[in-house]
Amino acid sequence: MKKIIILTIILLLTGCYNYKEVSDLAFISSFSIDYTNNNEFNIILEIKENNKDNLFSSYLLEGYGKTIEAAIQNASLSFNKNLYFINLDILLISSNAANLKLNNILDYVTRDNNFALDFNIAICDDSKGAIENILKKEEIFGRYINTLFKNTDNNVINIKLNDLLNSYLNHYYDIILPIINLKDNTIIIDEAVIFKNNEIIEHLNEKEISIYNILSNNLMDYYIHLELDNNIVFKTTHYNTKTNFKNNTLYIIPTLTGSYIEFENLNLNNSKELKRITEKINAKFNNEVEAFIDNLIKIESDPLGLKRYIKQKSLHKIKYRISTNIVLENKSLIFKSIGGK
Amino acid sequence: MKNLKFIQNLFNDTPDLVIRTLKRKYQSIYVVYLESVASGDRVNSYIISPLTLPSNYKEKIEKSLAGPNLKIITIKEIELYLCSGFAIILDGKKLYAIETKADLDRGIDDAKVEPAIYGPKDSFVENIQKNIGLIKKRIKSGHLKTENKLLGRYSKTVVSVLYIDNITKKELISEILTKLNNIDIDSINTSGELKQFLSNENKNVFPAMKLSERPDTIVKSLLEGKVIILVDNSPFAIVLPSVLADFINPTVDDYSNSLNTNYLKVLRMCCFILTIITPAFYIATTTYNPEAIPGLLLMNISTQRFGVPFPSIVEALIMLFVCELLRESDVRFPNNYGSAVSILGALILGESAVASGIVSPIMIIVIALTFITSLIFNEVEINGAVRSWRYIFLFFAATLGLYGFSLAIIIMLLNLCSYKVFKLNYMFPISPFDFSYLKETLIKIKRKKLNTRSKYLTDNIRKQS
Repeated sequence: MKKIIILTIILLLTGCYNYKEVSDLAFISSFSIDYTNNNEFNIILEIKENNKDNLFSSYLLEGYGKTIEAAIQNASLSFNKNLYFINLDILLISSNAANLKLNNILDYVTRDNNFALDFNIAICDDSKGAIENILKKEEIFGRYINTLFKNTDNNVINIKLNDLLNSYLNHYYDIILPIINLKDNTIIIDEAVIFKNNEIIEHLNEKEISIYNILSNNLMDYYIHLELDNNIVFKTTHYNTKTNFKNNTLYIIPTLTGSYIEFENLNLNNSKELKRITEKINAKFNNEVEAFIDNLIKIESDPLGLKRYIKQKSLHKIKYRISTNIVLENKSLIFKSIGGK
Repeated sequence: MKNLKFIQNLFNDTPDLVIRTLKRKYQSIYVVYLESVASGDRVNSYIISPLTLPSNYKEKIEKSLAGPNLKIITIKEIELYLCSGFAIILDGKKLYAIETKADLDRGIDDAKVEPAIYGPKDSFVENIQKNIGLIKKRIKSGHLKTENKLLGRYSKTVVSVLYIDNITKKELISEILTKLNNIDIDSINTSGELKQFLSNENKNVFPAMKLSERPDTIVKSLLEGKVIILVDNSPFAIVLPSVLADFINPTVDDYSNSLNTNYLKVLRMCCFILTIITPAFYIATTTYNPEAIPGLLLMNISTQRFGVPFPSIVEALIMLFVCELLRESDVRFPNNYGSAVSILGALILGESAVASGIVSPIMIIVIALTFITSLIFNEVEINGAVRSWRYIFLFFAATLGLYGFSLAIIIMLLNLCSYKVFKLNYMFPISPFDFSYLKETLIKIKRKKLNTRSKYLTDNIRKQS
C-alpha cells in the first residue's frame, strides 16, 4: 500500500506540467513573416476556427516586434488560446525577409519544438492580400495552398521545411523556393526563386521549374508538355534522371516516358516519321536543359547540387553532357489513334 | 437403541428426519433418512419392500438388499451419509447406509457461458458424478485418475481432482493435493470459492486458473497435461494451471478452418490490447501529445470538445463509470428488464449526454470501443483484470502523457512476465517460448501438425506419430 501511495504522490507531483486540453489550442494554418523597413518583423497568423458551425473559416492575428517571438507575443496579446503550430500548413516569407533574415527564420522554426518539419515554405510579398483573398471564398488559406501544392497537374516546386533544411545545411546546394503571386484576384504559383549565399539572385519561370523538377527527380506526377512547331504535344507520365561523373565530364541522362497526345499532320503508323519526331523532341528538350544549366553556371547558383559530383566550389569549370532519352509508352493506343491520319 | 438416540440427539429440531420401524425375526430394525435429500420412493422400493417380504423375513440384511448401493458404516459417518441422501438401517449395533438420493439437480443443458456453433452442446451440471461421467465419456482410459476429497467442516463438499497419470507431471498433482489438504474452512459451495484458496489472489488481478463449463475444453486440458478440479454442486471445472493465452483463446477455435480462426485470434489479441489502452491513449495524445494525432483528426476532436465543461480525464471517468454501471445492472437485473436497461443506457450515452454537452461524441466512440472490445472475452475475471489495468493506464496517461502511457506498458509487462501460476509463467507460451503450446493457443495450424505436447506441462510430449 505504501508503494502505491508513494507512486501516486510522485506522479501527481511530477506530472501534469504540460497538460493542455485540445479545445484550448488555436490551430494555425498559415504563418507569414515579413521584415519591414523599420527593422521590425511583421507576422500574420491564420487561425482555424474550431467551432462546429464554422468548420471552413479562419481569422487573422497580426503583430509587430523586433524579433519573431516578440511579434508573435504581440499578436496573441488579446488572444485566449494556446498557439499551436504543429499542424501549420504553410510558412510564407516575404522577399525582403528572405533576403535579410532567412537564417533567423529557419533557426526559429527549427529551434522551437512547437513546429513540425512537414509544412510548405513559399515566398509571398503580399501575404495579407493573398490570405484575405482566399478567406473571402470561405476557405482556409493554408489548406487551400496545400491542395495546390499537392495537385499533380500544377507545375510547382513543392518544398517542405525538412527538404529546405537538407539543402540549406548542405554546402553543395543552393536553396530554391516557390513564389505565391496574387494576379487579378487569383492565387498563382508559377514562379520560383533561386538563392545564393542566402540572397535571391534569380527567378525561374514555369518551363524552368519543370526542368528543375525533372533534373532533381522530384517525385511529382504532373505532366510535362513539349510542343513542336507543328502542334505536336508529347505528354510525360513519369521521368527519371541519372547523373554520373566520368572523365571530368558530368553526364546528365533524363529519361522521359510518355506519349503523343495531340498532333497535326502526323501519321503515327509511319515508324520512320515517328522516330524522326521523337528525335526532334529529344533534341528540343536537350537544348532546353542545356540552356537551364548554362544559366545556373552563369549565375553561379546550384539548386541541383551538381557541385557534389565535381567536388568543386564553383560550377565555372564544369564540363557536362545531356543525353535525353524519350521513351514512348502505350504504343497500341498511339497506333490505333483515330487522329493518326 | 443407543445409535437411534444418537441420531435423534444429533438431528434434534430437524422435522425432515424420518424414522421407520420394521419388525424382524428377533428384534425391530430402524430405517432413518432425511426426506428433504432422500427419495421416499427409493426408500420404499430399495429397503422397505425387500425387507418386508416374507421370504426375506429371516435373511440377513446384506442378503435381502443385494441390489442397491449398500455400505457398512461407523457411527461417526452417520451424519455425512444421512445428509448425502442415504438411508441408514440400524440393525442392533450394525449400521448400513443405502443410497437413496433424491434427484435434486437439473439435467445436462446447453453451454450458456461458452457457447460454440459447431462444438458439442453439453455442459457441466451441479452433480459431480454426472460431470465426471461427461469427462469419462470422452476419455475411455484407465489412465484418467480421480482423487476425491471432502472439503468444508459443515458442507463436506466432494471435490474431485482429475488427471491423466502418464501425462500430467507428478509435482503438479502433489502440489495441488497439498494445497487442497491445507484448506480448513466451514464450507465450499462452488468452484469459484475453491479457486480463491488455490491461488495467491491478492498478488495479481489476472486470474490464475480458468473455469470452464465445457467437457470438451476440460478433456483437451487434461490431454495437455493439466489438472482438473470438479466441485460438487458447481457446474464449472477448474483448469490448473491456466495462463493468459488460455483466457483469450477458447477451445471452440478448434472446430473451424485454421486460416479463418487465425484472423479471429489476431482480432482477439488486438481487442485485449485495445480494451486496456484505448481511453489512456486518447487522454495521453489529446492532452499532452497532440502532435501524435493527424492534423485534421485533431481539429475534429477539438471541434467536438467545444463547449464540454470537464477536462478530458473527468469526461473519460464519467463515461467509464456510467458504462460499468450499465453493465453491472444488466448482469444483475432479471432478464425481463434487461432490454429496458439497455434502451435507457443507449439513450443516456448516445443522444442525451452529447446533446447536454456533458461529454463529446469522440469520447463516446472511445469508451464504446473500449467496452465492445472487452465483450469479446467471456471470462468475467479477465474482464475484471482488464478493468483494473485500464484505470492504471488512465492514471499514468493523465499525469505524464505518452511517457506515462509507455511507463504503464512497461509496468504491465513486468507484472505479467513475473507472475507464475503453479511454477508456470503467465506469459507462457511467449515467455518462455514454446511452439507446441503456441500452436494450441495463440495461433492455429493444421490439425495434422499438432503432434507434440508442451514440455513445460508434461514429460510425455509425443501426441501422434
